[in-house]
Amino acid sequence: MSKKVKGLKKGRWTLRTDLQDFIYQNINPYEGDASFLSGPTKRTLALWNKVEKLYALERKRGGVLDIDTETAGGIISHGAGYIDKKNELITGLQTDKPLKRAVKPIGGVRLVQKACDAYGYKLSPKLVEVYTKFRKSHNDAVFSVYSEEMKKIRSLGIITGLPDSYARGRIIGDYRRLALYGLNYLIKEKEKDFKKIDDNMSTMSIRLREEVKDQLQALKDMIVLGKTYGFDLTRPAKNAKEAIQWTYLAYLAAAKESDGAAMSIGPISVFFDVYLERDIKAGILTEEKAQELVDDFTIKLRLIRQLRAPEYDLLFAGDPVWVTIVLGGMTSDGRTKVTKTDFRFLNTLKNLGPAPEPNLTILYSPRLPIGFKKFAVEMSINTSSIQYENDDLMRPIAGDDYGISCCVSLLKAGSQIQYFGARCNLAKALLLALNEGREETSGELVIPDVPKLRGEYLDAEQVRENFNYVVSWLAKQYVKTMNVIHWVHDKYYYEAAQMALLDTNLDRLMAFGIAGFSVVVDSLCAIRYAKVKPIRDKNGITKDFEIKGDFPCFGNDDERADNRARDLVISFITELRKTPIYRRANPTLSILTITSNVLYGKVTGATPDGRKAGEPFAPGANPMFGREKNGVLASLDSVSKLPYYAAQDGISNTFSIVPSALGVDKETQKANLIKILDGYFTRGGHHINVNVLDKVLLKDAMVHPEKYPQLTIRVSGYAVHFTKLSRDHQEEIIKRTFHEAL
Amino acid sequence: MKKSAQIHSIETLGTRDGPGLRCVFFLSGCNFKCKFCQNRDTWSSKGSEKITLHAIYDRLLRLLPYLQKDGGGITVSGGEPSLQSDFVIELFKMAHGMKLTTALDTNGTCKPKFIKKLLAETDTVLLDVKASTLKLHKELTGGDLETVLNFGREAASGWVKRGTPKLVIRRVLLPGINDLKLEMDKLSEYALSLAKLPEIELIPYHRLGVHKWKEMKKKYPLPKLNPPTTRDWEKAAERLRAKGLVVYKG
Ligand code: SF4
Repeated sequence: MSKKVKGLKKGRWTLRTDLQDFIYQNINPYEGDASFLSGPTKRTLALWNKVEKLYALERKRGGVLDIDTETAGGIISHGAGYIDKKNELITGLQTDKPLKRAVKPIGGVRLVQKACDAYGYKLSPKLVEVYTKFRKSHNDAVFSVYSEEMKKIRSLGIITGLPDSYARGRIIGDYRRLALYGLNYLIKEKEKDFKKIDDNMSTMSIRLREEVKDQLQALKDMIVLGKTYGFDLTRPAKNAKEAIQWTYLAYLAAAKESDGAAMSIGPISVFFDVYLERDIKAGILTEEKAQELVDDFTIKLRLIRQLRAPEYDLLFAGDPVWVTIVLGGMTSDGRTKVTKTDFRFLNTLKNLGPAPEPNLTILYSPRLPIGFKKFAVEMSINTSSIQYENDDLMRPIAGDDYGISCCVSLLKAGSQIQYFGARCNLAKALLLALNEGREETSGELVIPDVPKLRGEYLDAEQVRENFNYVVSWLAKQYVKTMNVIHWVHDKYYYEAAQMALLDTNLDRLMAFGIAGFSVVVDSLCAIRYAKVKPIRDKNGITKDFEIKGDFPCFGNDDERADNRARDLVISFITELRKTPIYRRANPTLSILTITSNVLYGKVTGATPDGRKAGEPFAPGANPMFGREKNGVLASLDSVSKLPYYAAQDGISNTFSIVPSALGVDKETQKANLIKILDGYFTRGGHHINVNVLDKVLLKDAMVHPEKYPQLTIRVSGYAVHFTKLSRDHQEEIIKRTFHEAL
Repeated sequence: MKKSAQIHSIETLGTRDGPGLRCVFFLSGCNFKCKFCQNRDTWSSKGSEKITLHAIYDRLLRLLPYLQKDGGGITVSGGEPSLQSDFVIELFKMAHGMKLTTALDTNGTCKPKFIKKLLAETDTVLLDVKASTLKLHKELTGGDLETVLNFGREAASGWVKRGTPKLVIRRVLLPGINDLKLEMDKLSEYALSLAKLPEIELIPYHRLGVHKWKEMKKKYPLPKLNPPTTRDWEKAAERLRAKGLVVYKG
């Protein structure tokens, strides 16, 4: 196969599937600035204009343009679809029309019905019949297994957002494999793998045999998908255009098959760059054409949609799909992974305007070339559409070829998956500890044998003991619940397309999460350093708290609070490790809420830190709004102290600043933002969303959304169109600490 | 050796009080009573917190990766930091030991016995000259202009001899009050008389500090004053530039 791809340096990758080696051999690191970039062509603008019109129509129709209610989505469920066939460079849509959503009743037929109803559609009775009478859905299967306790902690919102009625997502197929090797090779390799599976017919080997057969079918379906659009995917891509097209169709197969919560695409930029630069060198491509290909591919990613019920939107606002693309980073041997194509991807924010998808993520190291840093922060200041993650923290764990799944989760490319596990509401856990194991809004007993607290004021020692007991109990239930979900998911809703593009013997992670982090840290500090008196109702359940005296809060670089924060993370992951996990997955932990902090706050009673019942939590690992008294760097420093080794699924921090606080003029603002990023990542911070915007502008956008269709802001790990957020979310963002100049 | 100070607050991301990123310490207590003061709550050090050198050291140590680049460091402001000069001197020595630069935002009323020592540890002096005629200065601040000007002279002569501190003269521009021709003439006259030419920072007056007076149940002495227009600012700046001074907006 290597003979067919001229101009590429051979290596281990020519003998076996090894994308990292391919990149090592062929990467073109770029240390220059952005001056080589091209603007959009007429064709790009015309095509994008068509898409913008569709967006407007989608908004007008309440967020969903159209639904195909008759066909269950799958790799080859739909024929070819185009925006404008003769003007598209990269082709392929999830259904026959742009922004038309497919249904995936296999996840849970009732939820799909609900979603259809909400937008004025009716799910085909035939599909309803199939998925109720003849085929069990993922959702039905999970609920048939759940224990009473699991149902209770789930319905009371203690463990929430679980992927038990939609696809778990978070898996990243190595879509580049299709372009580099072609399907014939990939099919042959999987067939070889199948033969190697132990035929002892243990439960696990039976399962794996069945899975690999499903993968083989998916690969064969991809051949058909290619043919639908006129491409022969059995062979490797021959040029840049094909490499992008092939990769995109592999991704499309996954996005057609599964409605995973996050469908990220991995480290494709550096891969495309190899082909783009080779074609430019060979004289068959110009910079303008190269940019056009990247623009067109980006337009395709901006069209990816999944059908969601309105409840889902309360959790994850703004209709996200998390097509996360990683840019930048360094290699272990000290070279930079920054290529011209990383610039080209950032340039799409200029050429097409800012947008939440694809989710552009910069793997940051203070050692990145200055030209790239400057361009990245310039785009941050202008568009607020970029997030940054610490390459120096992640590279030692994942090696040089890795992607980011969803918002902040590290995954090795091609060899690792994660089982997504949403999150545990830690603030509710704390209230369970104060209320003898009873949930604070319903009074329902959840955890037996939590001792009653003595005394008028909360005693730090007693609370700590109770809280540890609760966390330990919950962690166990949490792991068991996840075991159920993923066992069932593998059986009923297996992502064959994605798995087909990954190694057969996978490294598995199980990703747990916590919400309400800073609320709990501050509450523990209040109990320890101030006097906190619980106000209880007639059943003895806490309704509010009276706080006398000052206490340190997270976000002020105050070691008293920050040490508690560290302990909290470490103790939670330690508890999770005590229960055996499905398929021997390794547990990881995230401190990430995305936008669900608003909903979680809504369903959580008053907390001892002075937060009233129903008030939102801070997002992710952010300090609570209004409690940061020492400015930006102190706040960043508190977050950067959280131990990444204990929360390897990611520690999300959202940072909003008004431009004038960054410096007097644009140049100073850029230079200062680079200093902030260098400092934060040197200090060991893991992730940061950067929003540079004016409060005034956001307030105006709330009143006049039509004026700001493209206003994108970053919310806890992903970006959204501000105008697509609910009023609650919009207000929460405005309330969220804006770091203003004195 | 003074190892602790009365402090009002800390702002860890200062981008306007000296080069690079700066951690700004607002010390409590002031000997002036400026009518336009934005930090009314710093006048009295009663009830303010005490902070030790040791605590500041710990904090700065963690912030070094942010602060060490491009000449960043620490700034002390207030209130009037030179009221606690003995502490500031120690603080600045410590900062230098950490390879951080030091900036002093002052109204220029440091006690004579501390002036030399303080200036020797200061890399940038941001000297507020709130008015340039004796009477107006007294009226606006309650303080003595000559003391202020003398501090500037000492700084400038040190700058010539040792290369530090760099001197920046600051003026909060109160339209119709301290931006008139006579004021600008006197200010440039003073700047030009110094051993080395300082930069001039003209800071447009704003009303963001008014609420602090209200919170403290004090009457704001300039209830009707509006911020200067861009034209007001340009006019004042032009008057100084015409004399050969470097002027920028604060
Ligand atoms: S010198 Fe500064 S702090 Fe003191 S009163 Fe004047 S403006 Fe306020």
